[in-house]
Amino acid sequence: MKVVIIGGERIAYFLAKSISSKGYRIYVVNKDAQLCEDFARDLKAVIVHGDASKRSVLEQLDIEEEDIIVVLTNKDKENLIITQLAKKIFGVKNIVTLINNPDNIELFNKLGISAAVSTTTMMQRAVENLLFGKELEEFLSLEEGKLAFLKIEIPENSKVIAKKLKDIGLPHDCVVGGILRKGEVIIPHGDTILDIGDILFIIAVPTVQTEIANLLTGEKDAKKI
Amino acid sequence: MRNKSKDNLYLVIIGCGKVGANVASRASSIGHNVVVIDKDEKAFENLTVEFTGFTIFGDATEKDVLMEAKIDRADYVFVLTEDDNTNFLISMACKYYFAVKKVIARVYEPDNIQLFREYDVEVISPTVLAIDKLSDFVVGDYK
Repeated sequence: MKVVIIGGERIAYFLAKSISSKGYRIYVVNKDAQLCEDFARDLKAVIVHGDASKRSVLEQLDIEEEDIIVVLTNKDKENLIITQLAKKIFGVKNIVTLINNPDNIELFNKLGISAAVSTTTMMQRAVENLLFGKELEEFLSLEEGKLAFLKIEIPENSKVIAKKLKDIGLPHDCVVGGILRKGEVIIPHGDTILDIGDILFIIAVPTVQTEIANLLTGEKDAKKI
Repeated sequence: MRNKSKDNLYLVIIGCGKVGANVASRASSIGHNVVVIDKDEKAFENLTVEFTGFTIFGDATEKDVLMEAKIDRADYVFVLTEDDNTNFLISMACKYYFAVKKVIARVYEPDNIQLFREYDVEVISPTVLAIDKLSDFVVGDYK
């Protein structure tokens, strides 16, 4: 069993370094000749210079079904064809791939590549958490982000304090499923009155996330954004 | 409503090079509804005066662009960019995101043909066509 790392620059290097230090056999494939020379000097790995989206290049790697293939190029079209060649032609079961455009995650999943990692999505989450502030946290997202589970705390000066849930004007595309108040769980209804420090658990479509956050954390006198 | 009778098809053609533009122009001239997508605006200059369809300037590897072309309603999608890998990604998006029944892709590298066929994409390979045609001139066992 070996690990084949295809494409990528720094990620490929550090991944190869850390995996080879644990004693696994590593093959590194890259299109960039200079990078291959550097890798050959610095890594304990078999370095192959070539375009792994070509079947003839993959054939040189003596790929076995048990091998693990990691695909890291910065082009989804290359990652897609490499993963599919590996899967369909060489019968590889364990394939991990980087995805650049988050829209493609679902496509890779449908084509049988479940270990698809999108750095864009990860960065997006991190940035969104900063944008919405500490009050809002997306703690789960389902179906590639089509449904979001939000956790949001009502701050001290929120304009919704002492108002009934049905009166605060939440968007239609969301449901408040539960409220955590001083350690007690409340299953809310329209007449439930909101209080400082309430933690609301909301199921929503992602497009109304910002609206919900603005509504619940907006200050009393703040103008509508 | 779009007329779906058999002599009036809805075609989406991706890649407006010489082949794409000519097929688009011809299909348009005989009354089919044609949308052509290319990420190079200049490529649309390849279309002839007979072309009366729509052009979309955008990258068809992006889902939004395919959606804009209403590709889910297409009778045929021709995927004709000059890069096999691009054609594969677009073909897969057509099939798996938009459930297009008939996807026909140009595949240059004979090694890739099997993969496209595994996913039920019809393949036209200029390389294989040329090889076959030229082989006809060669008497003997070359195949």
